[in-house]
Amino acid sequence: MQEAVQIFVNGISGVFIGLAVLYVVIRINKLLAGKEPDKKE
Amino acid sequence: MATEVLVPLAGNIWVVLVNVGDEVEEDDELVVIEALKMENPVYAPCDGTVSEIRVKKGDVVEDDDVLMIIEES
Amino acid sequence: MVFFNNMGLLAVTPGMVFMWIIGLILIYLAITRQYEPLLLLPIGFGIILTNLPLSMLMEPGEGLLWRFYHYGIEWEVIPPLIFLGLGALTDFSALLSQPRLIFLGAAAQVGVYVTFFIAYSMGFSLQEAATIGIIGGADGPTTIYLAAKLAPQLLGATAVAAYSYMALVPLIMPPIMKLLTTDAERKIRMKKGRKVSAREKLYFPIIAAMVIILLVPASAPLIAMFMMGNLFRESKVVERLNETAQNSLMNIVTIFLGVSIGATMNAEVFLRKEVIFIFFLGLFAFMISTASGILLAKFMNLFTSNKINPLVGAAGVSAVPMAARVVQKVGAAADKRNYLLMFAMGPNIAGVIGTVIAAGIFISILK
Repeated sequence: MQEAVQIFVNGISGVFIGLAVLYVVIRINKLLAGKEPDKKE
Repeated sequence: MATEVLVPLAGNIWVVLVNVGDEVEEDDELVVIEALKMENPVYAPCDGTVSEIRVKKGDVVEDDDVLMIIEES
Repeated sequence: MVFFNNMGLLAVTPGMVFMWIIGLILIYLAITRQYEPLLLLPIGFGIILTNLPLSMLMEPGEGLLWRFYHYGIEWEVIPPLIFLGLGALTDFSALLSQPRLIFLGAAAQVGVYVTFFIAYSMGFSLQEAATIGIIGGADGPTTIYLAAKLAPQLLGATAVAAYSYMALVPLIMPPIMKLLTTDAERKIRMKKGRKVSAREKLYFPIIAAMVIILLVPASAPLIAMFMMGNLFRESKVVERLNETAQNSLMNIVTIFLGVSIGATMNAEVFLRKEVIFIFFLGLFAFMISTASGILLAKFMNLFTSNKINPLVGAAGVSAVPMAARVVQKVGAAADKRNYLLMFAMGPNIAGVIGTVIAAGIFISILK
């Protein structure tokens, strides 16, 4: 039972941390990509 | 007064349901936009007459492109 | 007499007949209702085939379907190839322009873990409970991948449960969505995100693959293929590979995936009372995941003035893009000028990544 609780806690926090890191990645990625001229205009 | 009808979500023009000169009422369906295999109707924002249509069937449209212009009555 | 002794007919058991009926029902649903026909049709036929006695189709080492199953699924080849196609099909714009919606995709994994916990309390092993819980992520290939690794005896049942519930998304989700939101909330119109540049979309799969795999190495096979497929798409220079990953390759592996899953479902393995629990728990997982996405959206609204329509939270259960379409429909029912489809794609895609991470965590702890 203790193991199940541990997986439960690790799992949920792991998923949130994983996606939070992805959030940061998107922010950094935006900076890296910088501005580029929009082809449409 | 001329009112622009803007694209509410990016996709392809599935069908244009009105012609230039048509009288439309608020909430009439003007255009159907296909996105992710889903047909999404665009409704008239006001009563009036269609004065200009800027898209045709099959066009790829982006958010906030102008679909058509309605001369408000 | 030799002919009669080798005839399969005499070896048929009532359980096999029952499985034929299940196979026929899946084929029927695939054809008349179009419930996930690309998968349920070959699965249904595979079920019938594997329950024809003495055919040796699933005989280890020699059967044709066994080879498909062994080299395709046990060797973990097919689910990653499906992810290659999914990556090529995925447009990350929705996610990149509104990154805060990512968290809704994380919340929808709560159903996975709650169900894992309940299944374990009911007497399933940790590995089996994880496999059942992942149904709540509503992601077919991930479910199959995890089942093949942790609990192959449950593969058929969990895969069929996952694909059936995905087909039933338009029935399962709306009541929960309406129950948990007010009319005013359903009418919230969200502010459009910024435009995402082509360069940003090109960089993303490379950086994201590196970061996610460094973080959760066990998720590597699925994430690696997913991001490579997306790189094919966004690079714009390998249109042939992009097109093949999306269409031909995807179609080819789907054939082997479907018939192999069906082939695992022989009467002895499938006709046990645990299987009924799996179907109930899977449905429960799906419902909790839908609810937790919505609830997190409502919670986030407490802290922001740029309101999120809580309906898009429901799209955190992957089921791309059916869940997003359901969000659009329920939103349009409240306000026909509200177009939530593209907003819902953000949590929807985040949900896929979230489910893969959840599976990776299970594997790293339980394998």
